[in-house]
Amino acid sequence: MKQARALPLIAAVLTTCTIIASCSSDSSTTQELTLLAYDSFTPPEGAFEEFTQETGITVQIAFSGDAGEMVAKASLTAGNPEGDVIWGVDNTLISRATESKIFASDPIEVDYGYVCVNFDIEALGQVQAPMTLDDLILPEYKGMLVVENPATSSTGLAFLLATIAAFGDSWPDYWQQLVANDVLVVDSWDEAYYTAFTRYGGDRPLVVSYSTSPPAEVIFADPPLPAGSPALTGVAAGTCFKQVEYAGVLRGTEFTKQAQQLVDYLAGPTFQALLPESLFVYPANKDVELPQSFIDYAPKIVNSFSLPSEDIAKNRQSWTDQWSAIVLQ
Amino acid sequence: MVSHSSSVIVRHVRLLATPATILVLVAAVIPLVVLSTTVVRSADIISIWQNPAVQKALVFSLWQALLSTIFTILVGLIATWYLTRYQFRGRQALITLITVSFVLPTVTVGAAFIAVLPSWLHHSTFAIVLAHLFFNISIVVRTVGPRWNSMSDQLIDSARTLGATPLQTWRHVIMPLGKSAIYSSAALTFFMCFTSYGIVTILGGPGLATLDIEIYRRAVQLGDLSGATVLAVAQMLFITIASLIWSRSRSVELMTFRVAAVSQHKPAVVPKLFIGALTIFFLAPLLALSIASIRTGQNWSFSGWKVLLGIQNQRGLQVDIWQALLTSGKYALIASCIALPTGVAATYAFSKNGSTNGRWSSLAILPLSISPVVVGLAILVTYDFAPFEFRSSWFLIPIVHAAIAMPFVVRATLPVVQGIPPDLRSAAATLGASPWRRFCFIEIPLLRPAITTGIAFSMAISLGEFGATSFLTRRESQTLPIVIADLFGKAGVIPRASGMAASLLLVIVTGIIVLSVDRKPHV
Amino acid sequence: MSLVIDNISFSYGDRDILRNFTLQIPPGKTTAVVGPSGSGKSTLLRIIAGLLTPATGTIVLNGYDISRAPTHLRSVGMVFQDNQLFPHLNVYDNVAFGLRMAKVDKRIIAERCQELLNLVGLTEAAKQSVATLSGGEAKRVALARALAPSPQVLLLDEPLTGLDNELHDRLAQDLQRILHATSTTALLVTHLIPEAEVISDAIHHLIDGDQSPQVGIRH
Repeated sequence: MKQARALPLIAAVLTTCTIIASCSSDSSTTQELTLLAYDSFTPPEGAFEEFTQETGITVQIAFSGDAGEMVAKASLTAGNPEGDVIWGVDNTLISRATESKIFASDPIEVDYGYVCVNFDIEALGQVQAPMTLDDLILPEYKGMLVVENPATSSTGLAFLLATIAAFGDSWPDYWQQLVANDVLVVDSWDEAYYTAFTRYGGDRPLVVSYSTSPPAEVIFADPPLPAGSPALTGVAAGTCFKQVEYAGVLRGTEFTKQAQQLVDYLAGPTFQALLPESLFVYPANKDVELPQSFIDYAPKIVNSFSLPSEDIAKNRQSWTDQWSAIVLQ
Repeated sequence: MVSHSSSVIVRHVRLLATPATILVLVAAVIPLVVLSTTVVRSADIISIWQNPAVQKALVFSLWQALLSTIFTILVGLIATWYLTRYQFRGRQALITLITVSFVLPTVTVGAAFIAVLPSWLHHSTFAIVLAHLFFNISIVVRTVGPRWNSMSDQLIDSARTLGATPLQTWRHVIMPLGKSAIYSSAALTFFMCFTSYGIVTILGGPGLATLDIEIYRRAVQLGDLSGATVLAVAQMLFITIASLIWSRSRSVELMTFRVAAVSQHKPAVVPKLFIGALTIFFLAPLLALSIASIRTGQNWSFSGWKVLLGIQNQRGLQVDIWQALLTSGKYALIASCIALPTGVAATYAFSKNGSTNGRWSSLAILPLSISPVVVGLAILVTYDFAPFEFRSSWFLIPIVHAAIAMPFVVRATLPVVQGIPPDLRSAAATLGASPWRRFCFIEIPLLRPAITTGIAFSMAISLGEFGATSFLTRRESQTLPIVIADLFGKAGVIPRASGMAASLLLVIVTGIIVLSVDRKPHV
Repeated sequence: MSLVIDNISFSYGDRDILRNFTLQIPPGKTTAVVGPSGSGKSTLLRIIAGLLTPATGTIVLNGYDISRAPTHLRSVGMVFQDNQLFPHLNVYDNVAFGLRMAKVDKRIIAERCQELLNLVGLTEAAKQSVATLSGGEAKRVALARALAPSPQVLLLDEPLTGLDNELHDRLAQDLQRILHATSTTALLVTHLIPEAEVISDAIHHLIDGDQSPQVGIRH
């Protein structure tokens, strides 16, 4: 009796395997390009339809881990890449990527965004929101800020770079003052935002996040907010580091020409218009109009900090080591 | 004792280890060798150990693993005792709960622990130890449990009539009888904690890193592949050699995923309190997840679930949970299809080898001992030329999952295979059963519980596997754990609630799989 | 040295196992309680040993009421039906177990064990693993182990069940000899009257929890 139950189970498992295996051998005759992207690259459905209609080429997305993992893999396979085009190498990684010669030609800018201190409007109450990096070390913000560890989080790295760009060689002093002001350090953005930030039950009303987090909060509000509602979170506009993402043709692809067409499409108006409300970044293409949610809730960042990509690549380890020595005792 | 030729269907039993060996070679050893020869600079082999961050990670790995193991064994032994000696309502449910926790994705559990623990405990070694206890206690329960189960109440009574106090009975009878099982579960717990990744990143907080985390940081953030590979190879060698030495000096006890019948005692006050506390400890994280999944800011709402399940559209979120479930399910099925026959065949190879068998079976731990990031990178540089251009093929993922799951199949089936009395096969042979028929009608029915346990565990491990999967390039849809990671990457109440809901969904699916085959206490 | 069992009652749920059981066991003698299986014999021994707690009644050993004492402080020895030798210890260590629990001096343990192994005729087997013992040998070890700490009363639970006829008869005689030679106060329970007749000095009958001295049992 027991045996009668085991055998069908095994048979069913084996049959299912066979069916699945036979189904997934594809036999497409159209040309296909592979686009390497980070895991969170989720453009809306049909984002590549227009490209396929114009060129007859279909696009297969190959998820390659987070941006750092993707670049590590692309560097290792430079010259014999896993795909034809890569999306989303940011300016903290781009010089390592170019040094490893992963690109066939110069990569182009496809989107940008800002890493800035966000604040929870309700939790701040009567306290004036901070605007600049200098504000963050004032006594009224003692115990209010949570930042990410630059050794483990790209958001944390960007904020560290903002302070380095702002204070030059004296950035360690600034961090010492932040520590004195009881800054909290966590390892990842989602822990900072979803655990330590007051909006999600934590006790820190200031968090290092993105300038586009406020429109995301509004879009993802539940129940949905009526038009013209006040924002839930705000951005300290003087604390921002500009992150630029690049796309490019990978060296070693058989289809250089078609791959270039795809890169052009990625930078073109149709695709760029989809970016703000799916990846929560600004389109690099200046002709694209921003959606209403960005106009209403994402502040215009006039002055942001940035550093040359080569400097970042060269000093990244020593900066994060130095930072660890100061902040993690 | 056993005449080899009469008891097996294949003449050269050791050949049965071939598929398992190939699996381990293909999924782990060959890529690691190729990566080492490609990227390692010889100077790093020595100099990497002088790096303070590496030294710190090494010390912390050892320290927290030691602490976690001691704690897990202590609490685990008390839990095992109560679970094997007392009959109480919900006993089986508690065993299932403990079992499911072993295969839950670490990221989910880490998040749940953060939700439950008071904030002053968030970033502490204590939190790490607690989470490791949560994950690994089932190793103790399921290894020591069967051993204590087979010990009769009267043996303990006889110690007491000889004047042994309860404490002396523990020291001189109960512990020695469970000794080999306790050592074996301690070893596995130590290795699991030593290579801990997700739990330490989430609960350790900045500055606390295990060797696995340091390997990841070198490979990905610092671009130091050479150093990362040296560390990964060293870790693999350390764990493999340690488990070889360990299993040589002791009789090897393997994990049985089954805790059988108990005596009919009803628990008294202290056991009741302990069992209650244990139940709360295992339920609280799941409860926290459930609550977070229906909480949107200050409100109670099912929007997170609706968005996740596609009932409600959400601008800006692309979640195809059904596709992800299908993909995860497909990988899980294939992984168990590979892990099961490979593991069972290996079991036969190991179990017919006389007294050295356990030693070689301990080699099955190898795939568990390699940093997932390094496996991912190694596969990338190994299978990158025709006709071996598999590096971004979808089937690499279930193969890697199978390699990770196989040790557990071996652990589940080995004790059963060794426990089949040789005379049973002889009896069947004298009744005219051919070797093949003996296998089908004697061995398979006897192995059935172990086989179903093996299937359940390989599927569950595959479903929740995040490390290696997130590192291999995937052309198809995302798997469930990766969907969860993505949802937690967007700011807003809906993605957070949906992420919590997806985590809970993963727990539920895993629970159903384990429960559906592992619920009966009797073999 | 006497054991007084006074007015003991015990039940599992609604089922009465023992009803107002009373018995006096004279010192230095072996007393047998004979009854069919299920008549509560084993329960009686377990109550005396403190492994079960009765609903009513008292147990007095040499003038001390031991009813509330934990098993390990009662100074009762017990030979179990299936021996219950410790599988992780060898013959010598099994016999020495009780003395070690009492933290007796090592030399004295060695002497006492030697003496008992001689008594049961297993001097040669001291270092042997208990897994290799025959049924008769295992029984002798169990007896030696129970006698080693010199208990004030020895409880024997169907000690000869499951042995073949010849061995059974020989062991019964040995048992009688050993118990007599050591002047042990002993309580034997068995379902075999002939066995009880060989080993013990007095026989009581037990049926369904009641003492019914008139009823004999035939097999």
